[in-house]
Amino acid sequence: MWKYIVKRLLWMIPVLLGIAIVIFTIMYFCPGDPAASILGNSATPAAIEEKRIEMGLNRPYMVRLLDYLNQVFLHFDLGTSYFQNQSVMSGILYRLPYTFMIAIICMLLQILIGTPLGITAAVHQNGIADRICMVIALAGVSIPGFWLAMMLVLLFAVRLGWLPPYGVGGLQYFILPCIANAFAGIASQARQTRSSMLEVIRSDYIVTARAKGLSEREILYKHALPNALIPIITVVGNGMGMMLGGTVVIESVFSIPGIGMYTTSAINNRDYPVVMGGVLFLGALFSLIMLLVDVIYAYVDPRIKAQYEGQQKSWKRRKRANG
Amino acid sequence: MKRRKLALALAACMMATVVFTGCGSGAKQESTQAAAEPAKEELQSQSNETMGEADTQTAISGGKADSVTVGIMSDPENMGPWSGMSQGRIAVLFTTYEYMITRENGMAYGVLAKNWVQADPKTYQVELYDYIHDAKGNPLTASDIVFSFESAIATKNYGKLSVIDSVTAIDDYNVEFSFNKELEIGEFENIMLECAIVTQAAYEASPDQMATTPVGTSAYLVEKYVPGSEIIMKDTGNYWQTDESLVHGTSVHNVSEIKFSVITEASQHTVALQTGAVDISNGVPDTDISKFGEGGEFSEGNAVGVVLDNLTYDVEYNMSDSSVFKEDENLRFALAYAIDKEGVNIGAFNGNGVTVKDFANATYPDYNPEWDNEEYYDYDVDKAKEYLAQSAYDGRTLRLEYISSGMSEMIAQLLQAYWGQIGVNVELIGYDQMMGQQEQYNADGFDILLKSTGSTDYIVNQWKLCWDARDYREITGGTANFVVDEELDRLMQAALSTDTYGPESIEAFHDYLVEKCYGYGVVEGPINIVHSDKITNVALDIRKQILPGACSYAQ
Repeated sequence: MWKYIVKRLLWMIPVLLGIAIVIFTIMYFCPGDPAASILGNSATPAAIEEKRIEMGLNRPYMVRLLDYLNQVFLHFDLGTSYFQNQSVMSGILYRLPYTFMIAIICMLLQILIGTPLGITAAVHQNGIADRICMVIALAGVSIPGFWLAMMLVLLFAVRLGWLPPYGVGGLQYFILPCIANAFAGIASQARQTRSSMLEVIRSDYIVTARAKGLSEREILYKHALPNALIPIITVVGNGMGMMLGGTVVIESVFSIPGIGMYTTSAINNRDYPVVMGGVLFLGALFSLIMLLVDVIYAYVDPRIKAQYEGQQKSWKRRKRANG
Repeated sequence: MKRRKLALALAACMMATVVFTGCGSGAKQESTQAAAEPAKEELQSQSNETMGEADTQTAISGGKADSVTVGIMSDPENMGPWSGMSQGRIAVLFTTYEYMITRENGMAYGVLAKNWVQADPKTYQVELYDYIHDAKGNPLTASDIVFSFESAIATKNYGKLSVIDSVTAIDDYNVEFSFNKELEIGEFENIMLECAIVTQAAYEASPDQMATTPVGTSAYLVEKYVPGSEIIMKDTGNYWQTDESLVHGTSVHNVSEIKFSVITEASQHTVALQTGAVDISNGVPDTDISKFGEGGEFSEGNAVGVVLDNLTYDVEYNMSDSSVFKEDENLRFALAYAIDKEGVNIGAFNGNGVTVKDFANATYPDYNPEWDNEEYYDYDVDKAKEYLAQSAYDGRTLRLEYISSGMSEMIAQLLQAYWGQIGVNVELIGYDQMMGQQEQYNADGFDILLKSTGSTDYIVNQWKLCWDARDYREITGGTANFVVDEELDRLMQAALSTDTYGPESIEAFHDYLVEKCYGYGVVEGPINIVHSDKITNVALDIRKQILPGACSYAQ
C-alpha cells in the first residue's frame, strides 16, 4: 500500500509540471498587461513599456517559461506578487486557513446532513420522507449559491441581526458563508447516497441478511452503507477539492480573504505569479485529496486494496521475469 | 463676441491665480503655504438630502468623533508607499501618507513643503517645515525626501517621476529637484503629489517594506491590517503640524479611529449601511441609492450625498488610416449630433450627472464657462441624418469599444440606441480594464472608443490624456486615437507649455477640437456617497475618495 502511495506521489511531479506549463502558457497569451495595471489609466505607452522591461515581460516565451519552471521546481519558489511585493507562497498560506475553514465545515455539513438525508430517502423510497428529502436536494442543486447567500444575509443579518453580514473574525462569521456554500454539496451528497443505497439495498446479500433476521438498523449500517460508500466518498472528495478552489463567489459575497478571492483579484490585475502559483498550489492540493480518496477506497473496500497490492505484485513478478 | 471676450478675461484671471500661487509657472515665482486661504473640496450633505455641488467649507472646524467605519470596494493589497495605484490603494493612501503638497479645488498647497521656487526652467527648490516627524516620531529631513523620491523612481511604478533627473538635499530642510525637460503646466505639482513621503528610518525598520505596517507623516498609524478584510488606523495624537491653519484636507484628523472595511460585493455595502456595520460608503449600487434617500426604505439615520466625479465619459473615433472616420468628417459629425447627452445622463445616472460642453468637464479651474453657452454637437436628429447622408457610410456595422465596468456598459447601450435611430449599426465590444487598456491601441480592433478620463488639476491635462501625440506617437503614430494632425499637436503643446498656457491657447485647442470632431465629451457622472447621520460633512480628496479624517461629525 505504501508503495502505491509513493508511486502516486511521484506521479504528481509530471502532473504539476503539466499544470505549470499549461497555466504559464495561458497567462502568457492572455490579453492584458500587468505593467499597465500597476501604472494606472493615465500611464503613457512609453512608461508602460519601460515597466514591462523592468518586470522582464518583454522576454521571449521560452526564456520566461524555463525561468519559471526552474524557479518553481528547482528552487521551490512560486515567485513574488507584482502588486503586493510579497511571496506568493506566503500570500497563499496566509489565506489558506480561511478557505480551509470554509471547506472543512462545508464538508462536515455535507457528510452529516447529506448522507442521512440520502439514506432516509432510499429507505423510504417513494414515501413522504423520500419526497421531502429529494425536494430539499432539488432545491440545493437548483438554488444559486450567491442568491442563497444574499437571502441568508437579509434574514439573519439584516432582519434578525443574529449574525454578521460579511467579514472575518470569530466562528460566527463563517456560519452564513458555510451554509450558503454547503447547500449544493448537501444536495449532491443526498442524491448520490440515495442512488447508491438504492442500488445496494436491492442486492441479494441484503435479502439474505433480512432472511437471517438481522434488524433493519444492522442491515443498513453494517451491510448496505459500507457497500454504498465508494461513490459517496468520491462525491465528498470532489466536493472538498471544489470547495478549496471554488469558493470564489462565497468569498466575494461575504468579503472573506481566502484563496478564491486572492486568485480572482490576481486574474483581474494580471498578477501572473499569483495566478500561476495559486493554480499550481490548488493543483497539488487537489491531487493530494484525490490520493487520499483513493487510499480511503482501499480501507473501505478490501477488493480495491487487494487490487492495489495485486498491481504491486504483478509489477514485481514482471520485474523478476525480465531478470 | 463681447461675452466671449469677457469669458476670456475671466479665464485669464483664473490662469493668473493659478500661476501666481506658484504651481509650476514659467515665471520664477515663490509659492508659499499662505498663498491662499484653505478651501476644502468637500461635499456637504445633510440628512436625507441630495446635494449636487461641492462645498468649500472647511472641515477643520467640524465636529469630531471617536470612530468611523468606511466601506471600501477593494483591498489595498500592499500598503507600502510606492506600490503603484489601484482602486484599493487610492482609498487609503491619503489617510496613511502625506505628500509634499496637496491640491484642493484646483489649487496647490504645501503639506510637507513650506514653499517652493523654480530656480531655472529645469530646476525647482523646495523648502520643508523644520519640525516634521512621522507617526512613530522619527524626524523627517531633506535626506528622507531624497530617499522617498529615489525609492519611488526605482520602482518604475510612477511614470510621472521619469522626468526627474536628480533629487538632492541642499541642507537639512531644502531639496533641489532637477528635471530632464522643462515642465509643463501643473506637472511639478503632479510630481510632488505622486510620491508618498516616509522617513528612511521608519522604512528600514519595517519588516515588510511597509506592505502591512506603513508609517507615514499623517496623523494616523495603522494599528491592524488584515489583508483582504480590514484596516484599522488610529490617531497617534502626535501629529507634527500643530498650526491648524496650515492643516489641509488630506491631513485633517477629526476622528480618533478609522476602520476601512473591505466589502467586495456591492450589495453588501447596502447591507452594511442598513445594519450600521459601516458609517459611510461610496460603493452602494445605483439601484439601491434611492432606498437611503428621502422617503426611502432606509432613510432614517442615513443620508445620500451626490457629488460630480472628475471623470468625463468621452467618445473617441478611431482615426487610423484604415478607419471609416479617417477621411469622413460628415460621419463623425453625424454620430456626434445623434447623441442626446441629457438622455444619456438620465438613462445612466438618473439625471444626477451633467452633460459636458468640451472633451472635459466644467470642474477644472481653467474651464471657460462661456463654453456652456455654446453649441456643442447639441442633439439634433435631422442634422445628424443630413450629415450621415453626406457621408460615405455604407451601412456597415461599427464597433464601439468600452471597458465593461461601472456605467460604461449602460452608456454604450444608450449610444448604440441613439446611433441606431439615424440608421448606423453599432456592435458593442466590452473589455475588462486590463484588456481595454491594451485594445485601445489596436487600430483594427474598434471604430469608436468610449472612455472615461479625468485629471486632478487642469483641463489641459485631461486633454493630454488623449491628444498629446508625444505620449502616443511610438505606438499609434499620432494621438491616443491615431489622429495625425500637426495643427492639433501644435495647439496641444501650446496649451500645455508654461510659456503659452492661458485662455487663448486653451480656447484655440477647444475650438479646433470642436471643429474637427475627432472626439468629444458626453457626460460627467456622479459619485453617490451614502453615510449615516453621524457624519455631517463628507470630505473627498482630489480623486473623489472619502477622507474619513477630514469629514465632520455630529457632536
